[in-house]
Amino acid sequence: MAQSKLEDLHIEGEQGEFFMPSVTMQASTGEVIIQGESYLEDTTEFYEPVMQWLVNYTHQYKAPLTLTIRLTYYNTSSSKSLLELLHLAKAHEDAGNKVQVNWYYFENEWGAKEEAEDFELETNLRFHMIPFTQK
Amino acid sequence: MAPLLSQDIMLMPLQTIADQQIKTTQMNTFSLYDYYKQFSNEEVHLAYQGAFDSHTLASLSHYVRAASKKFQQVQRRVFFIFMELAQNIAMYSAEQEKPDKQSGKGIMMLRTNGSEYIIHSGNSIDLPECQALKNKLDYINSLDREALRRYKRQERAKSRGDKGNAHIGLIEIALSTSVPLAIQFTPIDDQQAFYELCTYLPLQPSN
Repeated sequence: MAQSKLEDLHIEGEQGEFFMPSVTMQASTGEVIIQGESYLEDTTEFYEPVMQWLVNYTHQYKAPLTLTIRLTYYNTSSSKSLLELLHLAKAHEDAGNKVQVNWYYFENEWGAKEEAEDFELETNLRFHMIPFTQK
Repeated sequence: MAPLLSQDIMLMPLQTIADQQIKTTQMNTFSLYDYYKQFSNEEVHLAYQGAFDSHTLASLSHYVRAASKKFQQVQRRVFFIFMELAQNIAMYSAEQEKPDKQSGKGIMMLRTNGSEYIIHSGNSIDLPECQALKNKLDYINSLDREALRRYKRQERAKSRGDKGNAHIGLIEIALSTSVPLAIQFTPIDDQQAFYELCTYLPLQPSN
């Protein structure tokens, strides 16, 4: 059964009226980058294609996945969606694939490290924590 | 005819101006000046009352960032708490501008008191919801930080697949500050109450 090749996904972020992150998903390298700000009232609709792509990738490919999350702001609603993406990544790892999660955070921000740790505890993933360089 | 000199205008009796002011006051009992004075005294940096829809939220997000720029260390948390509370008004206020339930009416205020940022939200809710909400908030306030994190992780796991997360939003707000959340319910009539939530953040955090 032939499977159509998974198309790369790219969503351009917006930061004026609505706050959507930029999302890039490359099937050839297994690289997923979510960056910018994620402040939508209900993020389910925005993250739906992102989720779907990751579902397709993890089903179709026995290949590494690198998930980079580089968000300077994200609200509770976005956290929910991010958690779902992380669960998908974990499932991919459990299936025997190499998975790396790069999590950017503000080093001196009170509570920022704990937020990341909570995601780790919820998914059993080990993050590669990278501090944002202070601007 | 002699040209009108500027001196003539200046000599208009002050009594005339006073008469006009008195007339205006009698027509209009709302004192904007009192509001202005109070807002200045209470160090109100930002206040918005009205419907909270996506456009309002977008505008407010810019204003909040500007208003909290002076205190870099807490700016991000102020922003997070403010937007979370504002979004809660949009979604959960009993007074909705439009029937699609994403345009709740209420009030948001950002002020300082010399040592803290105060982020204060208010909106009407249906009376039957008050007790459950109060119980939830009392419970959140009763937990120490580790327990609050556990509670958040637990609730997030439970709500996977559900829509809506004001509940988890409140937990996240509580985690953003070390000061317990202050809440107040004021009955409006036999159907609704006015629900206020107030959070405090030190301007210069010690950690």
